[in-house]
Amino acid sequence: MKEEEKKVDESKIKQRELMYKLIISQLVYDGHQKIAQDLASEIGQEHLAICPSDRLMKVTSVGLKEEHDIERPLNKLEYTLGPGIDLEYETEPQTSAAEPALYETAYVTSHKDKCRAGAFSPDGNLVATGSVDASIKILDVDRMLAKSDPDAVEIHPDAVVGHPVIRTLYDHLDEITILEFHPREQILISGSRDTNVKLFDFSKASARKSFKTITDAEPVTSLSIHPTGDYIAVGTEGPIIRIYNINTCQCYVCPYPKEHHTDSVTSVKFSSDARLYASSSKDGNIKVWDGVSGRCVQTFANAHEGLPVASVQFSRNGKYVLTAGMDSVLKLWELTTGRCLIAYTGAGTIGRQEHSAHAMFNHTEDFVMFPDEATTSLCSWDARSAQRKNLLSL
Amino acid sequence: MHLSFTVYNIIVIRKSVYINIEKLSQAYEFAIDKIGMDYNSYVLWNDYANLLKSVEVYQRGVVTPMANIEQLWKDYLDFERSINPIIAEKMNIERGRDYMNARRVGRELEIETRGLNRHLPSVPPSGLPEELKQVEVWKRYIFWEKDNPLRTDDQTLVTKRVRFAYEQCLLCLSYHPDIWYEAALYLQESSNLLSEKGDVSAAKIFSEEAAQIYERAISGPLRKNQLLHFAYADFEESRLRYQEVHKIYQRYIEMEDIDPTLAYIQYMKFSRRAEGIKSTREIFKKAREDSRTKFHVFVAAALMEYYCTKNKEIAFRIFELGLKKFPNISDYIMAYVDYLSHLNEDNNTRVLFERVLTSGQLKNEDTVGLWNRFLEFECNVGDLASIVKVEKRRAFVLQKLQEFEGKDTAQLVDRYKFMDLYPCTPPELKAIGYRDISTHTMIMNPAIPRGLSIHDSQEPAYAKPDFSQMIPFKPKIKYVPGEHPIPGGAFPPPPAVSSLLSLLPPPKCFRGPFVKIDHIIDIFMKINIPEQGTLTSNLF
Repeated sequence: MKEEEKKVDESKIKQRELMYKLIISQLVYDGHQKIAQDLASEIGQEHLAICPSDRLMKVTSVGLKEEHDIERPLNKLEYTLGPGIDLEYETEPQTSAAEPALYETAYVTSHKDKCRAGAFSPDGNLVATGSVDASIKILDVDRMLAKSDPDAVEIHPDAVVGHPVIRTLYDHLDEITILEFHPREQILISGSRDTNVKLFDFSKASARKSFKTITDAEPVTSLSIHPTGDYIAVGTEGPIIRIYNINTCQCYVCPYPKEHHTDSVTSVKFSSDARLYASSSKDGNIKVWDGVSGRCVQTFANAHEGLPVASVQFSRNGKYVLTAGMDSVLKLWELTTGRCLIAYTGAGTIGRQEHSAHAMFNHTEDFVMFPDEATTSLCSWDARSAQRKNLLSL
Repeated sequence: MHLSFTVYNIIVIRKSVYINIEKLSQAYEFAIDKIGMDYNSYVLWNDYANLLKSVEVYQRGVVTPMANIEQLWKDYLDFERSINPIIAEKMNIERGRDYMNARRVGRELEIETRGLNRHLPSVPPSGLPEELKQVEVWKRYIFWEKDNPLRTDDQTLVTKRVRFAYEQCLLCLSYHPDIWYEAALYLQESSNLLSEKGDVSAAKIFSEEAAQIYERAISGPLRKNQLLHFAYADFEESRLRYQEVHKIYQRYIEMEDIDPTLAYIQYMKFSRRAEGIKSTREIFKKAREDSRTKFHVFVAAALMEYYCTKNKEIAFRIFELGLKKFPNISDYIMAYVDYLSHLNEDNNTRVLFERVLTSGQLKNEDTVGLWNRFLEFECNVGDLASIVKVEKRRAFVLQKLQEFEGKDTAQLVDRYKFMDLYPCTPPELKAIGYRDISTHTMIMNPAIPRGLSIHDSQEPAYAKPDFSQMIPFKPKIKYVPGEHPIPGGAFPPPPAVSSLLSLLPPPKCFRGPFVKIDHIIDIFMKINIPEQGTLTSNLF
């Protein structure tokens, strides 16, 4: 087996060398002598006799035709929402979505204190918002849009639209830090600084209290629901990430103390196929864990210059992780190689931020968004080229 | 919903043209009759009420579940008070209950229909997840309406509401034959219920409406759908309208680009039930002359003759006729063979086998099934010599197909097997190289979809956390170092223990005997328990 692996590795290395040779030959063929020379010296192949050749061109055209026919199987999320960012297959930015700066405010609802948590339901019909005043509001998207712009929505023009806030839930005692909708049932899961994780059934209009509470020992900072909806991963101010089985309320952790974070966990997320979950922490590390065994399979140490990492998010195909740190830089990491592929810079203050903020993809994963502290606006970048886009003032 | 929009437009146009209140109120009545039950019909009711300022309109409106029913109720009470405050209070109490009822139902309706996209154009079913979701929501809404949410005793109203729900559904899902059928069936059932209760006229109306739904179904997008045609025919048959049934079947058969075989068969079955074997024969004749029909008609006709008139000769002749027309279709011949073997006529069966297998009309692959049947037949009926002869001939044919080269024992197995009993154990069969090639028992229909596509199955198998690889943890506020390998928690009590703990009263309730445990354990250790009880000896 080892022999075979070695052979596979060697052939891969040889292929890469061949590819670079082809690149250099193509450059010389097209007349870019200097660049070809520089590239050759970069990769340490200056002694190679460089002959101009058009072979790369031919190989690429054949390869592109073939690639077109290869079907890429889509996972369930990609099937319903469309493929997201995939740098292995795309080289040019193909943005069909509007950039974030073009979005307009449709509706404003207010809480009595700062509002820090928000979530969309999986079918996109509902929005939940949670606040420091310990209350949660659930809003209906169609009604919000109808209130703001009656012409835009496809409801009967004379139909009377109700109030967008369809539920208000008061069951926590302290700030709501995180909200997530259950993937299938009409259940909302909330985590709060009062160390509780509560499940609310909002299908009945009279719902006010949770029907289940999981009590932890430390304030909950983040949680993520497993795609089946039966498990949640909870991150708290303690360094240990817990996996709860929602139905039995039993809690499990990874058994190896050295694999855990060393400071409070700021964010935890499951990938869409549930094979992995990722976590970010104040200790500056980002860890990727195996969804089945709970063990840490990868650590990106000092991901943001040792400063706390504020948020982590998977791309839809599960190949990339987008992280935001207190150094005001967003980074896109590729999981197979463990490298940072793209860094999106230029947000906010240079150096340390005051407050932590979350970075997210937009709905087509063409853009990356991050709130800018200095100007109180939303920064966005093109996800593939890291080109900065306009600011959306908030 | 677009229907309602058009109707409303009509009203608005009429308003500008006619200032004649009577005509207008007629228009409004028409609109309310059609869409008054709709959840969003508040504007309609409001306008009508303002126009007529009549008590009746208000009263009808406030008991219909709709979006702004509260507003209508308030307007109604104000209106009543302006006429006569005393009566207003009386009305308040009387109608209040119905109004509350309607309001509750309105809220439930909103919940049930959330997620319904009424503007989806009708397309043939595609099996996509969004479509499935919409279908599910529609079905749930219809089911909820059938449940009589208004708790009314008026069966007519319930039927009307359900029919309205079906109509709305059909706007979006008109390519789904099951909705059409369910709608018609429901109306049929309501009509039966009403006629039982004694309300004959309403029963008749609903019965007619059921027929109308069928008519619409087969003239609309599902023109070529056989299921609906047959269901319609059966419905008319149950109403004893045989002429109608004839017309329906003929309409279907006259359509140009469909395969009428199944229709002819159903037609023949109907005519046998309703009019006897003569008319069946006429239909069969027509079917024969129709070039599009396939062999199934012959099989069905022959069997029908045999089962009804018990006349073997005619059935025989029909089969022969079919054989002349379709000598190369193995399924047809199988059916013929089955028929003959049921008749228990050995000679005829053998003759048929010989004829077919030597005629050279069938391709070799198709004959495999026939050869198997022949062998079975000989094993049941013939002597050993003929069995061996048939086997040899079969082996010869199979050899040509290169399936069983050198596997003579495998062929011997076929001689001895019966239904699903085999003369060898499965591993032995595998060693011999036996493969069961007799497939004549079921004519597999490749058109019926088997299984679901990967995205239809509700949950692809997601990776689930395997808790046996993790350690149970109970977060603790005051953590004692060393209590648990992972700092911050303790070991939770096992689930059985925690459920027991939740049932027990809190520790401070216990005031009972506080036992000195060491002492009692000592006593237990010192006790000498005899092997057998001595109680019996003490009793006697």
